[in-house]
Amino acid sequence: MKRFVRHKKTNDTDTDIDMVPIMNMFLVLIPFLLSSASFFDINAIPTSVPVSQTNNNQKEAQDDHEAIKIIPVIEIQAKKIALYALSDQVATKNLAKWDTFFTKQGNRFPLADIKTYLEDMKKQYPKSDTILVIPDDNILYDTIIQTMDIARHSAQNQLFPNVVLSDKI
Amino acid sequence: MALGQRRYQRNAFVIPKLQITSMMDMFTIILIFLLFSFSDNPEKLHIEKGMVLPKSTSQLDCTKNITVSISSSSLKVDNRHIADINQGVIRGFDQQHLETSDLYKHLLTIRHNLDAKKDQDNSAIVIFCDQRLPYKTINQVVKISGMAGFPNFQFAVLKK
Repeated sequence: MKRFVRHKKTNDTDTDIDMVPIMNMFLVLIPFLLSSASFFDINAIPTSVPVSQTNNNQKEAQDDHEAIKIIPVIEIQAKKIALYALSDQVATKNLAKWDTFFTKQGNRFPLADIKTYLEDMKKQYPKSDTILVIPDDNILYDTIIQTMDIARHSAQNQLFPNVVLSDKI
Repeated sequence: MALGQRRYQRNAFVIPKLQITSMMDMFTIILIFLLFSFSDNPEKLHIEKGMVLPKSTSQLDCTKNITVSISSSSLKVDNRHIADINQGVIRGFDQQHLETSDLYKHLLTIRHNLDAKKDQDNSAIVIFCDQRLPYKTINQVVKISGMAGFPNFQFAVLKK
């Protein structure tokens, strides 16, 4: 028993791992990563303003919805959001059925309803890719961005990726 | 006796080992955090003090172009002060004659320089705007940008 205890004692010597090279590596890596770290993830929403252009290829109204392009218009007003559609390929009578509005609920605009409306429109006219956003003068920038987010894509698919900001037509 | 004790004490002194285990743990955590926030293309975008960018679900990266910064107190182009803003109204802008504004003149100069270099890729404006500003403030800047030959622009947002 005594021999065993003595033997155990001799094997109990501390084996120190040399941490200095690891520490050196950390001291080099951390300043490097700190200098190239991005703490704010800034993204962008591409937008444009309407540009005047001559339209030479005006097409007649077609029955084939797949090929028709329609431009939904979102007018953000102080107390409601008015929605309608513009197109030179669809008869005015057919466009009129897209006229609607959603009133503000408390301090919030009903963006979920707008999403459903836009999804329906995209389903009917899948080639459409442009949307016109017309905010009132006093609408906050944050509200415009939230509306753009809804207009550009839903959870499932892309809706109208080209957003055009405009004044009232 | 006293001398003997002193000698014994001197011999018994052992250099204390530095416990670096906790420091290693800390470094490991910092390293992992920094590795996750590592950006291979760090853009040096200057955001005005006090400016709050809106949050968006947009996934598109913000490209370094001409930056227009609209805060609650000033309008800047590439960090150059252009005009003061007071309660959402840009000072010195004539609504009827926007082409007389300093912003228009400055952007037009940039446009001419880009045209001279035939640098079409670098022709989008990135607008950094405070989320609390009304559209009337942004609208003037957007209109002038379009007039000066920059119809395409990007709104800088924070990732949601």
